[in-house]
Amino acid sequence: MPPRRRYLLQSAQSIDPISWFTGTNVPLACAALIVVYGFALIAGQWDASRAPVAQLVSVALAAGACVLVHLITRPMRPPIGWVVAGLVFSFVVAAVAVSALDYSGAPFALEFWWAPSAITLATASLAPYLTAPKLIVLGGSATGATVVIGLSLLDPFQDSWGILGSAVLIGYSPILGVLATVTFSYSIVSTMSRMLDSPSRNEVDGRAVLDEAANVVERVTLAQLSARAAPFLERIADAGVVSPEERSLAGQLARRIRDDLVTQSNVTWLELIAQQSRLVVIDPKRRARAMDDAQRTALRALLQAILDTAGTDSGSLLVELREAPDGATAVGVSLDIALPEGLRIMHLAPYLLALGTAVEDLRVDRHALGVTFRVAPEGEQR
Amino acid sequence: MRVAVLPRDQAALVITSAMAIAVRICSVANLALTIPLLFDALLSRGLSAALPIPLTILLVMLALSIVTALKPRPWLVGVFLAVGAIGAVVFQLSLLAADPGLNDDAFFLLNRPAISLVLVAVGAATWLAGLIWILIGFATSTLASVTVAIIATQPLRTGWGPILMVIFYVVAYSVLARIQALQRQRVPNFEELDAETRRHATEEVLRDRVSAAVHDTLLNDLAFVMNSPDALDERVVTRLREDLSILRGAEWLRTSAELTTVDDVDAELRNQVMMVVSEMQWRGLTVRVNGSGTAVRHLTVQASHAVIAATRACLENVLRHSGETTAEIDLSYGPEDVTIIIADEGSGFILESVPDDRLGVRQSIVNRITAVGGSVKIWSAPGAGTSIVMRVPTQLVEQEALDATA
Repeated sequence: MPPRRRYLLQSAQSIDPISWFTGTNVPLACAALIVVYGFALIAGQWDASRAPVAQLVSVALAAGACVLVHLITRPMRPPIGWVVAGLVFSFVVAAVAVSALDYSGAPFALEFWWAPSAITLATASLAPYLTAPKLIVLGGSATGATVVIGLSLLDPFQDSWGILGSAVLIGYSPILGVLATVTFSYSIVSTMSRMLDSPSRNEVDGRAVLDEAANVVERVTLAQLSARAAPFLERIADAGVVSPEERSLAGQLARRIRDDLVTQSNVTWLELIAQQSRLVVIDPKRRARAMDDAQRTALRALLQAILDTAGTDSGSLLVELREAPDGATAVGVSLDIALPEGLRIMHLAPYLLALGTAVEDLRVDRHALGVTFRVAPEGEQR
Repeated sequence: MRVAVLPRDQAALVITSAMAIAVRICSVANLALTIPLLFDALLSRGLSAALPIPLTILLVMLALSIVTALKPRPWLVGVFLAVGAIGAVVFQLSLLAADPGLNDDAFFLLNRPAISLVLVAVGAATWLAGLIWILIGFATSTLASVTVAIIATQPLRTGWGPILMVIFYVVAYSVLARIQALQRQRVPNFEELDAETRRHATEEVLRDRVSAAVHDTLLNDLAFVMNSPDALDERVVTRLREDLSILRGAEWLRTSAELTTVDDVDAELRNQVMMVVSEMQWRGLTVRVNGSGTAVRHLTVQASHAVIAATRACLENVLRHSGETTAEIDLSYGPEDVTIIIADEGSGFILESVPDDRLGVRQSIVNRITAVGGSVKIWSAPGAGTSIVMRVPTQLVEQEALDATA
């Protein structure tokens, strides 16, 4: 798929979920701005309103739309689709209509109408969560609807501006808002995509990694395996003769080394982590080895975060890996944790979101904390 | 491969830059939307003669704002602010000269150029830098309004537009700053975790290498000692010392996948294979070596070591388990790989019945070859002998067969 087309299919949140798990403050900030700005302008034109309560209701409706965005974008919620986003814009357009109906027929300055700015702020509240095309279509439609509503209900009573000027005055704020939001979303997606596609700057020195790992393995694994056998063979080589006792000892050492080698060859990276904690791993087919570096990092980070969480019974942390019929690996993580659901989700959200970028079908049981995901068969991995 | 999440600092930079781009686009759109407003206001009042000056100012500012949107260099933004400030003053004064009533009826039009002065931002910036530029723009915009008020001897009037723009972007940048601060508290350092994973993965490979080496040296030597005569001859003693030396030096652990020169590697591979064959022959196994093709191939050092060790393990298995005293090695070259077949006509075995704790095939042959990107196929059946086909990728064809030139 051409890069430009790919950029249009992703939202800022989907390309970088970590940045926006705390970003749900954006819709709340927009809701607050609608309330402050709306009340200020309504107060300034209080006399123009036939029923000021209608204006207050419409402000509440528009701010409520942003609060709705806040609720539907909480961590681990599914991405926003056309229908939900359309619903948000419907609320705001309804708020615009209620406000325009109230001002209709009154001596009212269009440039001080607060409602078009609600479209701007609602669009801004959705900026991280919608793709650029969705923002253009939905924001553009809402802007068009606002202009039509404003021209139908308010313009006939204007004498300072013609129809073109009135249309620009009404659409000015939403047009700026939609353009800025679309630019913001597309700019983030295109820039981050390019960075993620060419992460060469993040590579570490392979030689240094190899030397460090070789030191560890030489110091621990090789030393353990050869601790008794090497001096024994050296003694034999020096003497040049073998006694019956030495033959017997050679047999014992050989059996022990063979057992150690078998044990060692069956241990996966996940079981090594388990050995250093109370984590329980069930991986009879050693499927942990099928996971690539990105998946290992993300799962390790999640497990470490869970183990570091106060109130976690680390002995209850269970990771189970099973081979699926198509060659994929099904992974389940479950544990008992004392944190309330909201705190727990916020605490683990960055780790779960990172894991979601590396595996398939990530599902989180929000109540009894359980996480399941799928590791694609080798050759099909991302 | 790494976790598909940008480091937080980079992500913060991208998001802040995107905000700055959005600000610049707002500036362009603001000036563009002012043009129809200008036409509407002047034509509806019969003031078309007053159109050229403000329209020219708008077009110049629009062109400059497009340039700064595309190339947000600080000096260009500075030029935009300077030219824009003068333009905003002249724009207002020219319109007020045409119709002073515009100050009351269409102030929304009068202060549009001044609003564009607020909407300035340079390129990749922190949220603080973005905020500073917005405030500089606001100060310039206010200065323009003050100048208009002095020249036109009118009360100072900036309008709500610049103030609202400043409030909106201050809130936006503050929310961004808050998000980034929360990120730093809550998000793990995936860079470090990635590096650690890479180290663990390397350790895993090295542990396999250690297992294979211990299996081929210590374990074989101990087996030999168990069945040896009372007195060891010089060749056995030499081999024991060589094996111990290999384990102590452990330089093979650090063998990387780097390329070495073709001649050295191929000579090393050939010499090592012949040494293994010679050793096996001394221990009672006759090995016939066949080959096809005379091309020269690059093998990585890691791959050539894997081939030698796996070949040794195959021959060791023939010697210990097949009941045969002869084996064949066949080397052949494909366009992208080297194939080594080791065959015997011995007792054979059922592959599926080999228990998990038997490491000779799994660890010393299969894992070794697959670790360097190769593949292994084993054909065996009781009474029908065993054939092991190892295929190892070559990295570069240095020289094709030279039969024709010969």
